[in-house]
Amino acid sequence: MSIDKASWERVQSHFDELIDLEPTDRSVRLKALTLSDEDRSLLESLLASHDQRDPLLDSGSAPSLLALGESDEAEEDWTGRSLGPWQVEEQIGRGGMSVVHRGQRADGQFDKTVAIKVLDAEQLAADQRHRLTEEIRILARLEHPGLARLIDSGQSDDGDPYLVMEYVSGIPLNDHVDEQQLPVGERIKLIIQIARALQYAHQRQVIHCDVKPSNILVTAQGVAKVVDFGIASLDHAEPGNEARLYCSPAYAAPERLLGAAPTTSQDVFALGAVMYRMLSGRNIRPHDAMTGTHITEQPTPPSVATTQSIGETNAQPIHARELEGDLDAICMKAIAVDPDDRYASLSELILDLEAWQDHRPVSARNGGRVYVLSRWLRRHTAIAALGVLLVGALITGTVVSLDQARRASEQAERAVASRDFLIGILEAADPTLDYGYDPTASELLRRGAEQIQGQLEDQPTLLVELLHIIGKTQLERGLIDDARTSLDRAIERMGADRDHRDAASILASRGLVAYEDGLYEESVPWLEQAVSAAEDNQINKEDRHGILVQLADMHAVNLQTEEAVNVAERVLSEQPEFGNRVAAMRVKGMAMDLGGDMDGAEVVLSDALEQQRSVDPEHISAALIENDLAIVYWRQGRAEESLAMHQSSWRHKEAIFGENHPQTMTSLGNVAAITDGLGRHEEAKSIWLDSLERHRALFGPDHPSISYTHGMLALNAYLTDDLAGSREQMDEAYAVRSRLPEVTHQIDWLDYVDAIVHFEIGEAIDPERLGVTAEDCIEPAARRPLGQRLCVAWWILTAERQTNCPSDSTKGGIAELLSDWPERWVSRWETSAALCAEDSTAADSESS
Amino acid sequence: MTSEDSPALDLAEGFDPADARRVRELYQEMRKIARRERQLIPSATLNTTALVHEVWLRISPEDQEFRDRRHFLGLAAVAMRRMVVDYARYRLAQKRGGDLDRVELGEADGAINAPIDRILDIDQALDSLADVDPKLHRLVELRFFGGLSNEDAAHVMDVSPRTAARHWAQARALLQTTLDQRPAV
Repeated sequence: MSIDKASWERVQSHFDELIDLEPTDRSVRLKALTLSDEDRSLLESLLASHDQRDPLLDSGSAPSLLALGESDEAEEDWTGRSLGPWQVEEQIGRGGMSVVHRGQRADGQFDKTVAIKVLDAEQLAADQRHRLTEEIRILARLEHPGLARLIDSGQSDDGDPYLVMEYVSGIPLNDHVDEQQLPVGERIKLIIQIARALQYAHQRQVIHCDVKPSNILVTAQGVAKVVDFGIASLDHAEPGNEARLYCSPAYAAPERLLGAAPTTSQDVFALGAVMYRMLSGRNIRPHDAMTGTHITEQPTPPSVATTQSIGETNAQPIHARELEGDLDAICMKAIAVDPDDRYASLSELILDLEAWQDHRPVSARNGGRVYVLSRWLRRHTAIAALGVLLVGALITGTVVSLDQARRASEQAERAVASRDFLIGILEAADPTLDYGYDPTASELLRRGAEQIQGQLEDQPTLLVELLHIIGKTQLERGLIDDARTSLDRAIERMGADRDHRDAASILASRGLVAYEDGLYEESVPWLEQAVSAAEDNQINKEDRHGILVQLADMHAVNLQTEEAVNVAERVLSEQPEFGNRVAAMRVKGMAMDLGGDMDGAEVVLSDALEQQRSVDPEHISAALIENDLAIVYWRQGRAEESLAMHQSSWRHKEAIFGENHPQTMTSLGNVAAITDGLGRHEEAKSIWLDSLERHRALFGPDHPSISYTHGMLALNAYLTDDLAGSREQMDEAYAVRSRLPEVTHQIDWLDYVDAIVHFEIGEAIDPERLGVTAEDCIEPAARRPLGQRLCVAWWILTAERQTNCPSDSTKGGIAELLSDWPERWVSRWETSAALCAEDSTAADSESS
Repeated sequence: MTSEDSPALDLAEGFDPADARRVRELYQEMRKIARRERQLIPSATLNTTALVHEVWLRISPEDQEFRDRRHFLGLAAVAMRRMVVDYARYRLAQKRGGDLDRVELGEADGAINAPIDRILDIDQALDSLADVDPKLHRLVELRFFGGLSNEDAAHVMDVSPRTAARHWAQARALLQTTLDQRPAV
C-alpha cells in the first residue's frame, strides 16, 4: 500500500473527523464509513500513527535535537548588557519564563539598585503580549509598602519584554522566621502584612499566582514585601502544547496544579500554605509534587505537623499547644481543597487573623455559643476574674455584647460580601464563552457596573458601594469616562442625604474626575461636598485629611491661593499622618508661591522635601515637591539651583514612570526651559528637539504639547538671533495649534513670540500684540530675556506712535540692557527715544 | 518548488557540515525574525521593517529580492533542512567513525544516535509528502526542520494557528505511516 495524493484526498476529511472522537465512538463511526478496502486500511494506519506517541515529532524539532538553539539561547546571559537606560548586573534569580538580574541606571543619573526581570518573548504567545501591556499598566499603578514597585518596563532589541522593579534588600520569609525564631504572634503579624499587600492587589484585579516564601522578602526593618507580581498570570500554555506551570507545587492550589486559570482564591490558598509552613515548619506537600495531580486530601493540621517536623533542619516550628484550635482552623480553611470551602477573600482571612490577635471569635472555628462565650471571656479576663457571683450578670451582659458584636460583624461581612461580589463578577467571565478572547479588566469593570445595576435594584446601599469601588478603580486606571459614569450613578442612587458611609470618598473621586477632565472649577464644589460628607459621616481622620488635601490642591489649581493655604493649614493643625502631612505641606507651598510669597513657599517646600527624603526618597511625592521647589527657585532668580532641582525631579519621574510618560516629559520641558533661561541655548535646543520627538511618538502630530514645544524652539532660535529659524518653528507651532479644538493657556503665549519676531524683521505691528503694558515694563531689566525684548519693543512702538514715553529711569534701564543686544535694537531705540525726547521737551516747555 | 529552490540553495551554498555555527546562526536569525514578525504586528511603535531588514542583510548581503519576510522564512526553512540534514549526517558519521552504512545500536551513546537517524528518516519520508500534499510538506519543513513554533509556522503559511495544528496532525500521521511502512534496512 502506498500513500498517494488521490487516496489522501479521499480519506483526509474522515481522518480530521475521527481523530477528535473517543476510541469507542471512533470505531463505531469508522465501521459506518463507506470506503474501499485500501482506503480503509490507509485510514486505519493513519489513525494508529496519530495515536502513536513520538517524542521527536510531538515536541522536538531537528535544530533543537541537534542542540543548535541551546548553546546561545538557553543560557542567554544579560549580564553586562544594557536594556533601555538600565545596566544589567549579575543574575539573582531564574524562573520558568524569565530571569532576574540586579541592575543600575546605565547613565548613572539615578543612583539606585533595581531588579530587572527579562521575560522570554518566545514563551509569550502573541495574544498575551496585549495582556502584558495591560498587566504592566496595572502593575505600574500598584503602590503599596508591601509590594515591590514597578519602576520601568520596555523591550530588548530582540523583543524580549523586561520589567524593572524595586530591588528589595531582604531575606526570604522562611529564613527570617527561622533565624529570628519569631514567636507565633510575630509570625501572624507578618502573615497579616502579606495578606494586606495581596488584598490591595486583588482589589485592583491583580492576582499574584505564585505566592511562596521565596517571593516574600523581609527587610531589615521587619517589613514583608511581596516581589515578582502578577506576571505569572500570563503563564498560560500555548494552545496545543503541554500545559506548562510555573508555580511552586509546594504552595499551589490543587486546581492550579490541574491547570485552572489563576484566581484570587488560589492566592488565598498559597498564602495559607505559606502560613502552614511558617507555623509548623513543614510544607503542605513535598516540593516535587507533580503538576496534573489530583489532590483530594488536606494535610494534617499544623498542630499535628509541627510534632513531625523533621524535614527541614533549620525550621523553627511553633509548639502544637499554641496552634491547636483557632490557628489550625484558620490555616485549614485557607488551604481547603475545594475553593468554595476557603476564605472567599483575603479580607475574610485578615478578619480572622485579627480576631485571633484580639482574642475575639474566629469565624473559621464555626464555634457554637460556648466557644463564642469562651473567647469573649478571654477577652474580658478582668471581668471574669471577679468571680462566680458575677457570672449570672455577666452572661446577661454577654447577650447584649454578643448582639452588638454580631451587628458589627454583619457590617464587616457586608463589606466583605460586596467586595467578593465584585470580584466574583470580575472573575466569572469565561473568556472562551463570552468573548472568544480574554476580556480586559476595563471591559470587566464596565460589565460589572452594568450587571449590578440590574441585580441590586432593591439594595441601594450595596449598589452605591459597588459602583463606588468600580468607579474608583476606573479612575485609578485612567478610564476617566467610565469612572464618571459609575460615580454619577452612585451619586444619583445615594440621593440627597449623602449619609452613605462611602459618600465622602465618592464625591472626592468625582472631583478628581472633573480635574482629569480639565474642568478645574467644577472640581472644587465636588470636593467641598466631599469634605462635608466626611464630617457628617465622621469618617476616619486619615481619609478626611486626604480629601482636604485634594480640596486644597484644587483651590491652588484654580488660583484660589488663600483658600488653598487655609485648607492645607487646617490639615497640618490636626496631627495628620505622614503622607497627608507632606502632601499638605506641598500644596501649601505651591499655593504660597502662586500667591506671590516665594520665600515662604521655599521654606515650606524645603521642609516637606527633607521630611519626604528622610522617610522614602524614591516616593513620587519627592519628585512632585522637587518640581514645585524648582519653580520657586526660578521665580526667586536662583536659576542654577532651579535647574538642578528640575533635573532631580525629572530623573525621579523617569525612574518611576519611565522616560516617555507625560509626567516625565513635563519635567524634561522644565529642564529645557530653565537651560534656555540660563542662556545655554544650544544645550536647550537639543533637549527641546528630543522632547519634540518623544511627544510626537506619544501623542501623534496634533497635541498642545507639540505646538508648545515648537513655540519653545522658536523662542530658542529667536534668543540665538536666528530669526529665520524662529519663523520656521513658529509656522510649525501655528500649524499644529490651528488643528487643535481650543487654544489653551499652555500655548497662548505663541502670539507674543510671533509678534516680537515680526517686529524684529521690521514690520509695523500693533504694540497690543506684544501682550505687555506700560506698567509691566517700568523696569524691563527685571524681566526674563523674552520679557525684556517685549518691553523694549513695546516702548519703541508706542514712542513711534507717540502714545507713550518711558520715564528717565526706565530709559536708563533700557540703555543699559541694550549694551548687550544686537545693533539693530540700539539704532531703533535711539530713533524712537529721540522722538520721546522732543516730545517731553515740548511738554516741559509748555508747562513752564 | 523549483523557483524557490535556487536561492535557498544559495543560502546553504558553501556550507561546511562541520560548521555548526553557520547553521546555528541561520536557525537563530530565523527564529528571531519569526518571533518579531508575529509579535510586533499589533503594535506599530517599533520600526520592525528596519530591524528585520538589518538581520536579513546579514544573512544574504548580495540578494535584495527577499523583501517579503514570510517568503524568506519559507526559503530559509528549505535551507535549514539541507543544513540540518548535512549536519546530522556529519554528526552521525563522527559517532560511527565515518561508516554511514552500518547502524550499530547498543553503543554507549546509542540513545543519541537513534534520534539523529530519525532526522534522516524523516527527511526521506518528507520527500514523499511533497507529492501527497505540498502544504503539509512545507509545514513540516517550517516546524520540524526550521524549528518554528506552531504559531510562527501558521503565520508564515498565512493560516490560523488552529488550522496549522490540524495540518500538523495530518502531516505527522502521514509521516509516521510512511516511516512505519519503510522496508527495513
